[in-house]
Amino acid sequence: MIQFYLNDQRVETDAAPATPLLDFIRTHRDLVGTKAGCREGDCGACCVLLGYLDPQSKHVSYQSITSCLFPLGNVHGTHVVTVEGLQEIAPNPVQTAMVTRGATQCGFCTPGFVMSWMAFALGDGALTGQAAEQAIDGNICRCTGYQSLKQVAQDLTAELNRSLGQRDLSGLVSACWVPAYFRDIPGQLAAIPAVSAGSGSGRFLAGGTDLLVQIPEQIQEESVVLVHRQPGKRSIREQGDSLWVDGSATVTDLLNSPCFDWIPNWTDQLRLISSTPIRNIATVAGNLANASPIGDLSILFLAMDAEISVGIHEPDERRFPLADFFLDYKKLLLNPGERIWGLTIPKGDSRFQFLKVSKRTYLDIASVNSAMRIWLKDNHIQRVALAAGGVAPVPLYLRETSRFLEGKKPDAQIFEQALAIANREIAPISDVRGSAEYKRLLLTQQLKVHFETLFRDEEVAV
Amino acid sequence: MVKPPDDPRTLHYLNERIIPRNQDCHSDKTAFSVVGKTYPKPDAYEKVTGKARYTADLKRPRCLVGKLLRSTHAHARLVRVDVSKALQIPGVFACVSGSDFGELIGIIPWTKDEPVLAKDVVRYIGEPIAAVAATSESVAQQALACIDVHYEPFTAHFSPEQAMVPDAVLIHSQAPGNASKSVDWEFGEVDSAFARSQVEVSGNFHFEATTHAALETHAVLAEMGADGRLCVWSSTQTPYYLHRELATVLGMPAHQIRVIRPHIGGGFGGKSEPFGHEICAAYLAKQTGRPVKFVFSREETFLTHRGRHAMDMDLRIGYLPDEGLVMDYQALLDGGAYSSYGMITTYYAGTLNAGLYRVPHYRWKSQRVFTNKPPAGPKRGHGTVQPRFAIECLVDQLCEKLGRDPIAFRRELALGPNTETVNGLRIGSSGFVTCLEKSADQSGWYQKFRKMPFGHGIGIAGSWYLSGTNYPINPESNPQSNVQIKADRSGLITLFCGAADIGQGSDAMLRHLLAEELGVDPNRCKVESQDSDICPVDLGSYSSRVTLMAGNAAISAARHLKNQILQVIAQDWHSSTKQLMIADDRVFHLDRPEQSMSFVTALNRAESVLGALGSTGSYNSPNRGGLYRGALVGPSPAYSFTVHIAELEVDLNSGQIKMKRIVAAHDCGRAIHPQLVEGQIEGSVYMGMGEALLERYETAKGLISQPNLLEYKMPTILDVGTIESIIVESPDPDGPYGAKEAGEGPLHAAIPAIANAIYDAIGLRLYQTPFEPGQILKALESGHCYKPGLPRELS
Repeated sequence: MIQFYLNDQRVETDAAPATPLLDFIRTHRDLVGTKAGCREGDCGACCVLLGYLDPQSKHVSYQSITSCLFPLGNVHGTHVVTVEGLQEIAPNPVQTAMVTRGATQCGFCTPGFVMSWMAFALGDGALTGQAAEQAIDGNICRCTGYQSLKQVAQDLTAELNRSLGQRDLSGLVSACWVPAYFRDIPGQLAAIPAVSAGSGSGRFLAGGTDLLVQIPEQIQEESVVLVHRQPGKRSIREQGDSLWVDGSATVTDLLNSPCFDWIPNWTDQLRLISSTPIRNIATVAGNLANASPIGDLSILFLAMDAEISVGIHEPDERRFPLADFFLDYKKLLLNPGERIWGLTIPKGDSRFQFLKVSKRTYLDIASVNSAMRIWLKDNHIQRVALAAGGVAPVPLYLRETSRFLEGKKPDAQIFEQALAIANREIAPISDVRGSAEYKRLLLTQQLKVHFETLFRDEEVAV
Repeated sequence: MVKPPDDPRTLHYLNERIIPRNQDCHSDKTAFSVVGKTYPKPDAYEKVTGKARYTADLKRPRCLVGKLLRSTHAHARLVRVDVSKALQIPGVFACVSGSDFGELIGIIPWTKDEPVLAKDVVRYIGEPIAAVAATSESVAQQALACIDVHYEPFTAHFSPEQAMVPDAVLIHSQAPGNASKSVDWEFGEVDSAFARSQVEVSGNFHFEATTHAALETHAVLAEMGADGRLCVWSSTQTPYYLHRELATVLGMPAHQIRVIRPHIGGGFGGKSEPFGHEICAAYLAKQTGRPVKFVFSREETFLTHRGRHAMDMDLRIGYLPDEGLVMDYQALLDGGAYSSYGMITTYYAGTLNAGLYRVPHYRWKSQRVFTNKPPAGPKRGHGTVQPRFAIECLVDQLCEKLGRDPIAFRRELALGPNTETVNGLRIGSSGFVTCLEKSADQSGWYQKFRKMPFGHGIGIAGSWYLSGTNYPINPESNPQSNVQIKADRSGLITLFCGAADIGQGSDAMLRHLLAEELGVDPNRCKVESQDSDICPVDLGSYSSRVTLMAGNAAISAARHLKNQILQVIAQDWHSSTKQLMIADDRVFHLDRPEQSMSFVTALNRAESVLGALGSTGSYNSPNRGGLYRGALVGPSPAYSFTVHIAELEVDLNSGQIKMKRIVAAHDCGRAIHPQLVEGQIEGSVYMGMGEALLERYETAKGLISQPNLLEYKMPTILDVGTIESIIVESPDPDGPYGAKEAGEGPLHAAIPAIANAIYDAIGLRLYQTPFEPGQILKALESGHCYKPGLPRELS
């Protein structure tokens, strides 16, 4: 039995756990304000709010998610808000700003924009115009050209900064951003008995952002093991001289985690991955298990020199370098019944950079992505981890290039040689993301950028 | 071929011709109280609160799910389509195939070549073959799987070149050589003009196919009433044409059919003709007695297509200092499997090239070819976006060769107001030169062009577009647009008009005109446009026709109503109607300041004297255009003008283009509702930008490669940069209060402006859309890129 709050109503349902939340909302509950534009998470017309209760603080934190891909089973114990769950009587400031600025034309995408901005208002991120624009990076509008929406982003930021003395739920209720029933939600969610994630048998299903695209009908018929994030659980934490990244951590968890503060522009790098509502549900384990040769997180963690923990019952039944995990195209070193529990990343004085080039800068799959981590000691490269995607049948750990650079004193000649080795290590093919020739060129350029960024001028011998 | 007049310069460009007044036009007013002001769109609150209902949102009791079986072959004989097994499945109420329909459908009366469901032959992968109505989605799917289809494959053609090979298998037996439509024009003396031209440029351009990708997929719901009347709700831009087609194909009297257009989640041309699934829904509803609803998946919407034609263009332009340009233009259009609007596309592609600039010598040869791919059709800027891309790129090259500034050169070449093109298009007002000036000022053109560092570029392009066509799709003598007004004693004024608001805001536009003409608050005015039972006919939202045509009709009707009211009050006040006016919701006497009356009181007084108050208005276009074959496609009552200046940065590491800014100046005659005009300009620029940089409707062996919104890439908010719209008003005598179109014309220039900006940035000329990072990075790596305007060694 899945139990949750849908707007101000308590819902109990026996529907299949892999039912897309969107279908439940529109078909079972007749809340047709939420729209189906693509059913693949690419347009954002289906965005709703998902509120998780933190059992300690009793605070409900809201995020925007694409309901077309989110399995219904994952909403147990949460608060789902659709456009119908906002002010019934008068429009709220988001809605008013969209009307005033003429930011709704055909209106089909509009409820999705409203909900994404509600997540912005309810969240605890920076209140800047830029952040307000980033909040709608997963919403496609085909009519307006976004200029009126940019004005709305400015209006909202100004209004939030002006009207909210304190940015908490009661402040938002009294400023009419959300209806009063939101106040009761923490208590009501607390009363819903918890279910333990990861129980049962069948296919592992996390955020749904891959499986509900690949096998949307089939997965509803199957028995699944839900392994999505447990509310309130610290999924990324320091553990001695390493970091633990839980398989259920979302990309947003990574983006917000202080554990990566040592990486300059970390949030900008992670914003190149998909879009806000997808990042809010897509998980580390899901991205690794997808085994895509171009998976952003695979590349990122390969270059962090991560180790992966897999097992049937326990995290540490087997632990080995992530570089050994990808065997061949879509083939993983994973036995039946084993799941990805998480990653262990060595800490230490190092530098890291993730790069991604795609046809569309945002909300796209990379043509080529790459990441590099270096450890320097006494002006010598002590250790290197370099990975690239889109250049081989697997997410590629550039082993030879990495080994070559180790122990070297960085200089232009060494870099030239490293580029040559990297070019031998890769075998890109021509596909929809670009020609083989282009991908080769691109990786060369990206490696140059890595070298330029990660090594300071004075460290490089001329 | 048409013989040119003796001296084109005197006859066509310098004469201010006396234009006969079209009595349907209302451009005489110059001071406004509502026009020019922005009010919220009447549907805006419904939309932001999620209360607006689109076709997929509608529910009817006992509704059946409709589904289509689609062809898996690009070109094959349909030997057998047997639905008998499907009919035996419990929950399946009806299942039909091509043999159930006699009539072929098609928007253009002369090229009806598309079956409701494929019969005998399938012509593209994804073509509907059979339709089922069942109790649920899964039963319907199950039924489709039980339909026995036997194909006998033919050779399929995936490019025009393949299809045009001598003795190629024919896609349509009535189309020899797989030729869908060809146009062959020559005006002036092209060859001799080239011989004496000062400079010449030429190029072979390719414009990639793109599609509309409106966020709402196609959807239709049909129901037979107990009274034997059919009701069809559909996501359509052209409810009237759907109405006609339903009557014809179903053999029903038109008055027994009601078409309702709910809110539409975007059209852009993709929903502007009657489709097989709409006919199927009605047929199945008739057959089962139950409501039947089809909601297309994103993939099905991609398969339905009707998007922009891929076009190969060979263009040669010569410059004659005293005359203007000579143009020799050839185009090959990849039409896909059916005609759709293709005949019009093939004409449109040629018709606007001889304008904007002085082009006294113009040759056009175009050929649309059938291929085994989803049918191409009209997309925003129908048929004219592709050829304008090539022209504006070559004009940029011409400037380079002549050492002329692109703005000064365009100003010199501009065809002014009250002129006629060599192919007989009559231009009324033109704000093109103002667009050039204002966009140059706002963009900082003179400080930036050829002056920014390598990798940074700015580029300009111009374009023009029509505001509806004089000659409608269905040649009938009835007006192109009709409205009816009902004035209620409550003070509510309701305007009924079948013009399809597809999100662009035509309801808001009509409400503005109604309030303006009556002198009342727009909030007491309401527009009803969804229901064919209560709204008089308007031909629909295509060819940028609604503002001009429905707008003029609305002013007519409002004027009649106002006169009725004022006549009664004038009599009461022993005065003449000329001395009265309505403003701010009150009736005033111009000579007696003390005498006034509220509008509602006046309305009630008029009703008590005249009985029920109402009025009608119509618009029909003037007869204009040349006498040659095809001369009637292209002439429009009025033309809009646009200039774009694009500024961008090329990422030298990845070849990616980062858009910084597009300044778009658009002459819409009169901005009735400025915020909506800006929305149309910005949306057009955005759509053009997408086609320039990202969008590609690609097929592999006839199968659409990536039918989803991840691979069909449209810019997100983080990709677009800043779009600045500048409204230029040069009122046209034919427009309602001088207004012209704003919804399509501001698209074209984005593509060549971006191409020209890339040239300014890195010295690379691009001839093929979209301008993808791959080709740019390759050029950068090859070492051939440089900063134009600087000696190469310095750049």
